[in-house]
Amino acid sequence: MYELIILLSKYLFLFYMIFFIWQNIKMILTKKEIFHFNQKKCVFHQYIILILFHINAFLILAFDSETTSFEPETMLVCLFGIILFTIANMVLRLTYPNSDRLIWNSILFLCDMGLVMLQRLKPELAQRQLLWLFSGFLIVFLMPFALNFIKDLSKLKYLCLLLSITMLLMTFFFGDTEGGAKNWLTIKNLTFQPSEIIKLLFIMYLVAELAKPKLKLISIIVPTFLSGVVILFLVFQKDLGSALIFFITYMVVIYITTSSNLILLLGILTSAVSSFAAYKIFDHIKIRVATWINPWQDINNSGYQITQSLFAIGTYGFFGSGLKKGLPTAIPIVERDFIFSAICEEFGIIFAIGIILIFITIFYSCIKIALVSRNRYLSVLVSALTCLMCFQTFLIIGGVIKLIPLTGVTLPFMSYGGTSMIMCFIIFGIIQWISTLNERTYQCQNKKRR
Amino acid sequence: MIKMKKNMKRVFFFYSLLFILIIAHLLYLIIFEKETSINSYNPRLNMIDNSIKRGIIFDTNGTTLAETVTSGGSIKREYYYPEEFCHIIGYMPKGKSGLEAKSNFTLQELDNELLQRANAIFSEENIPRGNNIFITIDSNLQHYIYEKLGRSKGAVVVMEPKTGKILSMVSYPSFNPIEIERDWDKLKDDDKNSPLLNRATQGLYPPGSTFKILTAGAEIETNPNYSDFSYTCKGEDFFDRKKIRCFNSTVHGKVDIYSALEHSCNTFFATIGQKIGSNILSLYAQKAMFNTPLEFTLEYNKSSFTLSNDSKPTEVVETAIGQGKTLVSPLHMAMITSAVANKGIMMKPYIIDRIESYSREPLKTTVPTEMSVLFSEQTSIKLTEMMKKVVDSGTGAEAKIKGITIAGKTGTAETPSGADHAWFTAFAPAEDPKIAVTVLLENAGNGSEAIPITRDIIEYILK
Repeated sequence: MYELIILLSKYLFLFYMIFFIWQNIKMILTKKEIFHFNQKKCVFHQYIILILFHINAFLILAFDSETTSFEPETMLVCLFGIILFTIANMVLRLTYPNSDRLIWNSILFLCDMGLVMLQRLKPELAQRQLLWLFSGFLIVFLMPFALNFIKDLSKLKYLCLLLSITMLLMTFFFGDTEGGAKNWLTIKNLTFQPSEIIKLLFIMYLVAELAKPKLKLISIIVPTFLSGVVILFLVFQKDLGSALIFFITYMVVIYITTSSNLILLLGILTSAVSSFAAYKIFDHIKIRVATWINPWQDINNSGYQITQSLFAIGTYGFFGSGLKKGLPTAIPIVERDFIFSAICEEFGIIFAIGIILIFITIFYSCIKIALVSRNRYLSVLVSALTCLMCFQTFLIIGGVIKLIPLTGVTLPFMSYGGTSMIMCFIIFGIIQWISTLNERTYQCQNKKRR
Repeated sequence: MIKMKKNMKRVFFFYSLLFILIIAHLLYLIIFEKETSINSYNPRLNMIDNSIKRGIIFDTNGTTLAETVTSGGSIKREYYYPEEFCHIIGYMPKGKSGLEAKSNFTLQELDNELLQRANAIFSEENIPRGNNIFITIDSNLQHYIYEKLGRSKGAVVVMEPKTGKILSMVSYPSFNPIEIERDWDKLKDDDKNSPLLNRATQGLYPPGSTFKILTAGAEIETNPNYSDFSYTCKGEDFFDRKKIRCFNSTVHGKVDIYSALEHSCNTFFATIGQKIGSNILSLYAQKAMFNTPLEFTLEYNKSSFTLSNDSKPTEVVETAIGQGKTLVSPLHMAMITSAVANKGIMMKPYIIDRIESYSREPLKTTVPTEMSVLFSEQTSIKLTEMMKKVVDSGTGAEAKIKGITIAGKTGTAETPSGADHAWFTAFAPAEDPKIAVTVLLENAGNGSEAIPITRDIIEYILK
């Protein structure tokens, strides 16, 4: 019976996914004024789907076929999940009036898929992740008060710069090494990844410098130099993923603000030369590239992780093995970097493609916010933050499917990790806050016109 | 500001392309690289074997070769001809090999899963069953050949030239898959006998004189006056200071291509090789699928042919008579022989005849496919005539059977250590070939030991 339910749920999960994406598409079409669907209905449907998905998955996970009973601890996680999503759904409307509901709902759905997968892989991590989710939401809920108080974020640029450089130096001198990269910092009992925080702070500084209406040469050179320093530090800490994300985001910001093809070309040239140099100098980069080209050669050591990931993706095909029926735990650090492979294995490739589509719709909506914004600084800030998230998503998914060499970064909202989770929430809090500002100015103008 | 927003759109467009690339790559992995999952490092291969009944493997007559049986709650894989079929069907608990590995997903796939799972609720007995496989091999023939090979190290491949169907494939030393867990350490470390190796597909040997079939075919197709060319064999000769000797330094006297193949005259074929050169030899090796994947279901090694434009002349000469660096598997030699028997067309070898669901519903049947055109029809008729003479009055005379015309070619492969390997490859009846048989015996001295085995096999099948 249990087997049959798992089998049926496999197709049910796919239905939830397709239905959810369909609602996203409906909302986008309505916004583009191509079709007119009832937005509120779409949002409500998505909420229902989210809860159904959550309950369905947790019932399967909580069931113990040996004792034919449900584990109480898992059911508790399930219950807290429902409470969290319901509160989030109601409360975010208050502090973010008229923000983009598509983004909120999609984020919740991604978080839930991550939570379900963590419960499947390592139940104790799911409980902690739930805690991170709660704190993330609390911060996001309170953020608008602080942001409305500050109003002009660009004023904070030197503070951002100072903080990010302090953190960078602290990691460099006091950092802990995990998984080959020295990117952890412990203050008392709190362990966190400073590079996640530096990413946000430094980009806020960068955008403040570069989004000035009349750009002078000196205000390009100084941020460029500082970005170079940050990237070099990250490379020396072997945190290649973060270094790459930094570089790409820097390039995007400078391209958007200067629209200079020359700078774009220079950037591509520098990246080609420096990646070649890095390849020649650093052994760990050489190993990464070698395992990317042929992981089968050293399947016992350096190629083990990626080949296990490929097995997870490839073995069960389009529809997956069914929840609890695969073997995603065979991949080392599956809960952090390889959560996408675990989902591919148990939910199937079509479901996984659905996740990618959800990410695309989120980023599309974010870029729309950037395009609508009248404030030059905020507009560039939104697009920079979007590109940051976008590239991070590409880097890790591309890495685990062996499209590009693997760099250990987290998959936004899905991987296990407190720092990453909270920073993702803050980034989207800022984006959504800007979205509410846009709506406010839009409504003001409409009033004036009348 | 407007320009800036245009740039943002461009950047987003670029990122969308990256994500589309991810989707495309995922689909590529699933559709075209499914094979990579079949790897002993993938722990998933064994995952569901304890909760379902793997499919049954049948021989061509429907005799059960391997099946999963339940007794008192435990599930066990039974093998009914363990040693004869060990390299074909393979083993299971210690990783997987043979068909158990290569057809793992077919054997595990539950047809009509919903119904089977629903049935399982009502009765403990109704364990969901995987798909069944029918292989092309006849277990009686397989058993006969296994016994015939006795305790000699080697391999036998029997093929149907017109279709590429493998009728039998035996490799010795063998092992017992039922006792694999007990014998594992011994089997794995036995480098002298390598019982886990399927010599028929994975063993690579110098082709010896059997390669002369290719050299002769190349000569016939490239030289219109090939039958006029003659040469006087003195038992040995020098080619670019390299001495080439005939077997036992036998002096063949004045030979043409017919008598040279009949008596396997090395000096004649060395002369031919020197004449046609490395480019033409390479072309025919390429047509014969050397250095190319054979796309065979079971684990195999690619045959290798190393001549190139800058090969030394002595190497060309050695290659033409089957010495040199060329290496070939018994399966591949059977394919080349079959191509001669099948009007020059090489068929893709196959061992899985059809796949059926647990309820005996046909799911998939293998359709014979052409792989390569090795020779023209005329050439293969000429080659058949020559190979008939080999058995009629030449080096393979021992294979003669009353009432059946056999075309064949002997071969002796020199090895750096130990006695020579013996080859005999043949097809019969020569007028309308039904079977091609290739026998390889390791360290058996000259070809003569492989010949009677081949004769008996042909007699067993055709009489």
